[in-house]
Amino acid sequence: MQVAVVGAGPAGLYFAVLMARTGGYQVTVFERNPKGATYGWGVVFSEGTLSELAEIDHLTYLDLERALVRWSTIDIYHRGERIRSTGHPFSAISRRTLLSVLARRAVELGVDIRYQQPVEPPDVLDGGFDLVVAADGVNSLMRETRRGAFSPRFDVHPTRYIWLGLPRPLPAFTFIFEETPFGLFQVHGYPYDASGSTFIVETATETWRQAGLHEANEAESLAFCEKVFGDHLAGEQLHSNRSSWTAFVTLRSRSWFDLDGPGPPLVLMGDAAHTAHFSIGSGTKLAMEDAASLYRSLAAHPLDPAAALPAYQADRQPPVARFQDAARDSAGYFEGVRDVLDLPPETFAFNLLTRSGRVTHLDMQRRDPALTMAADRWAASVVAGEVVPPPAMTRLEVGGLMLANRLVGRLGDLPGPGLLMTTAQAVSDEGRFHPGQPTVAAPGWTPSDLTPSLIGVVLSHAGPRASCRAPEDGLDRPLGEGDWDTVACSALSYTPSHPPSRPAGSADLAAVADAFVDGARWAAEVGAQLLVVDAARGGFLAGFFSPLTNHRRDDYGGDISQRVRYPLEVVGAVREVWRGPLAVAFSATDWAKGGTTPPEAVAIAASLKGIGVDMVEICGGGTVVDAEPDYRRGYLLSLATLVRNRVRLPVLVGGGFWTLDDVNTAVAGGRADLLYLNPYLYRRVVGEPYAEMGGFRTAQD
Amino acid sequence: MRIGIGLPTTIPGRDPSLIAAWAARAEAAGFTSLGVLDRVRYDALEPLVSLAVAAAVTERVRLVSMVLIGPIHNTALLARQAATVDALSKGRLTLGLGLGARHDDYLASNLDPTSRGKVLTEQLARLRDHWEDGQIGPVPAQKGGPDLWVGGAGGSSLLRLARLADGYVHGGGPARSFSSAIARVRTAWEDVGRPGRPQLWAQAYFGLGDGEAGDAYLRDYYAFAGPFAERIVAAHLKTQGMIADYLRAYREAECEELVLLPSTADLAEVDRLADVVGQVS
Repeated sequence: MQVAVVGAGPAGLYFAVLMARTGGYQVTVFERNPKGATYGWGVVFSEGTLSELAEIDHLTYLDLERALVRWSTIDIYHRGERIRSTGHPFSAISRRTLLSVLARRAVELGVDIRYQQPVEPPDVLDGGFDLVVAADGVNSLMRETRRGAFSPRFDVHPTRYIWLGLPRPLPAFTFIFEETPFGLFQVHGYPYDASGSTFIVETATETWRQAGLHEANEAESLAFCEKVFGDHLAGEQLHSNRSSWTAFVTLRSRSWFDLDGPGPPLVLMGDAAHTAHFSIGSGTKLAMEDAASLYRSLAAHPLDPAAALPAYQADRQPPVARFQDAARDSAGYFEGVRDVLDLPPETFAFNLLTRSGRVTHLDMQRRDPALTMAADRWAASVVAGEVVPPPAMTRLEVGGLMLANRLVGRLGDLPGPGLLMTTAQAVSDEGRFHPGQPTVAAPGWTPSDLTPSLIGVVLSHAGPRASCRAPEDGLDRPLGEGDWDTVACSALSYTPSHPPSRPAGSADLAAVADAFVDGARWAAEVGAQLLVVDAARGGFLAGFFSPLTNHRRDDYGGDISQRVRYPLEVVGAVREVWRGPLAVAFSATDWAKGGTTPPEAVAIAASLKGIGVDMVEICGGGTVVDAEPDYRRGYLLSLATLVRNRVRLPVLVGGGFWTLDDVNTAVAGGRADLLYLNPYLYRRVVGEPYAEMGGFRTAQD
Repeated sequence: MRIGIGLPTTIPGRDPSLIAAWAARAEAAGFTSLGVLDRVRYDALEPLVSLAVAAAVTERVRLVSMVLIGPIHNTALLARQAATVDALSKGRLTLGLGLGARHDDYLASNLDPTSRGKVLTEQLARLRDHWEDGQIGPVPAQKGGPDLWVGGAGGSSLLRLARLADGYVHGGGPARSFSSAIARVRTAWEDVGRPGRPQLWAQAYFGLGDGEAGDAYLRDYYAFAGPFAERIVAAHLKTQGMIADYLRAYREAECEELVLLPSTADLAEVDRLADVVGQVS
């Protein structure tokens, strides 16, 4: 069988090596660049990838092994200080060495490598081959000729980066954060052999423009980077290799192969099929794993691409998608890193090392107990020498109230969380979600029911979601008999089954504000320790924040500075009668097109802080019924981190926190202050073991 | 964990009279539910009509669509049909609804697939309204109508489930994927503030007699899914050992009922499966 491989990068050559060892395949590799030309510096491998390479072709592995640099230290330079973290094993190799080892081995095995060959897709496809492998990178010409078969999707990241080299081995994987008058620049650097290191410089697109780098040539860019990072270069010059500033593009392809021609079967591999942001250093690793997988699939279905290619895709798409998710989180971290620069150094480092969600507090305790302890100590605000509790079990002061731990539960759940919230108490009959909902006038509980935990009372007005059946019967099903008129920000129907709400006139606005104020007085009377104004979940107040539900033309509608006005008036009035700690819950995203944006969420929180709110609860959705939430683990955490660190206000967040490890990771990394645990999982994962141990400490103990 | 079995309604060329015999045999063998799939452009029997036949020859097993493609049905008529099956079976219907994975089913039904998510959200609310207000007959045997399930683990499906349905039916795959899906189901349930707990069911294919024929059927049925078909074939439970491992993993993952769908229309499969389940349980 005649196999053409387009692209003599690591994936193409490695695949050629593996196939050439197998009888029955003649492999030809086409490469448009000259032999020995390479445009990267070094590449990173994990231990897992290396053991796979060792297993699949031991001779190649031995050659690579000799050229590997291994290290387990990460240096983080933050505000002139170096934080060194240990226990993170990595290996790297110079890209040039990697390619020369693979090319030498391929030639030994009889592979025909044709360098400096302008590769025209039609020539390859009509070249009499039985299988064509496209390993020609993210801009794959082969893929583009049959684009429809692969449905590639490109997401452009909002930062710019340049791939440079440093002629000296850095002592560790190195992250450098440098603030300049134009904004923040960061380096991802790592050694790849005894003579050099990869040195990637990244910055926000806006900062890149501010610094004039969009007009800079190669030499000017190099000079700029040498100036910014001069302190770290020890007099060495940075090297460029036709380097230029680029926006990273994440590529996902729906299909990785095409059997339907015209021409022979065509299959994508490595960057031609998918890319993952460089900050998790996995591009080459994924590409070589692709090569190994396609080889194994062909071994399982000899000379039968029609069976092998689907098997290859089925094998590789799920793990690659998981890496792409982690890479997205990691890239998102670097896009927002300027917001967490003010964290204490060890917390900043902990936050950085747990950025992709693949490393948790528990992992960090194993890898680097000293750094983890330092981060925990900050979370606990205790000085060296005292016993440091796990971050979830540390105290927190909110608006003068001392909470015993970082967990928040619901009244009626197991005791243990430092704070228990009531269900939403409607401030008026009109504002009830359903007839059975407790109201301020009929709360359904008395202070004597309360457990030793501190109690937060939640005040709500359902607005357009009022007058429905009990949530047991399904959400937002209009009551029918016994219903009442609903009032909302604008005259919209919450679902097609609802009549439109009455748009709130000035009398309605005044009445709702008065009802919240009365509710706050009542909360003080019943002895609540914390008050939450619910301006989330699609209720009356929430309706003003979101552009999807606020269509008003008066002073309460318009841009975000107008849309916050009414909720601010209500919260301001509540603040006057409620002296204790005050929190406001709001939806930082609507999970829908055209909804509240992250900058608007920051603006909402900042304006709340401005009128004396002590904490915000970050919620999502509830605005429109056909939304697309992403219910993965900790799904609101990145928005919480943004608001917390940009606005410098404590945040409470729920949603997808399943274990104490999740809470520890979030608190130690300075991402959130208080967390709701999913009550079901809380009972399962946390409640029972801790209940057996006598429960949590509470403030009264 | 309870074990149900699928009816061979989607296996091309089956003898239609097999459905009644299969249902009766399955109940006698101790399975707790009979599941049916939905597919328009295929040689497949209509799911609710098939369940009506099963209802006539059984007394205890639950009758479950897993899942019916909701948006291709007129909601009022679907409410009526489901209420009829529920009445005929004395309250044994569970109506699982989903969007389906194939646009061709919509096109064959002369419908535009693009708004199907919105349609299903509205349908879930309206079905319950119809069953409760009693304007469209018959009155279902279960008070307020059959339980509603939703399949599909994407964000908008989970939101729909948590707001308006009673349970989740997993589309298949290893127990690990079930675990991660139900964690998201519970997260969604918590997110919308729904009291109580969703029911959590799952499904898998088995073929104990002629596994090769079963593989061929699965490749054909899932041809639309491209390479994904191979993953379904790889997960096809063809030996006692595979079934034992699968059951153990799903039990640990807190699945409440696992419905094993046949890959061949051979009546003897019912007893073969009952034997194996009896030995490994």
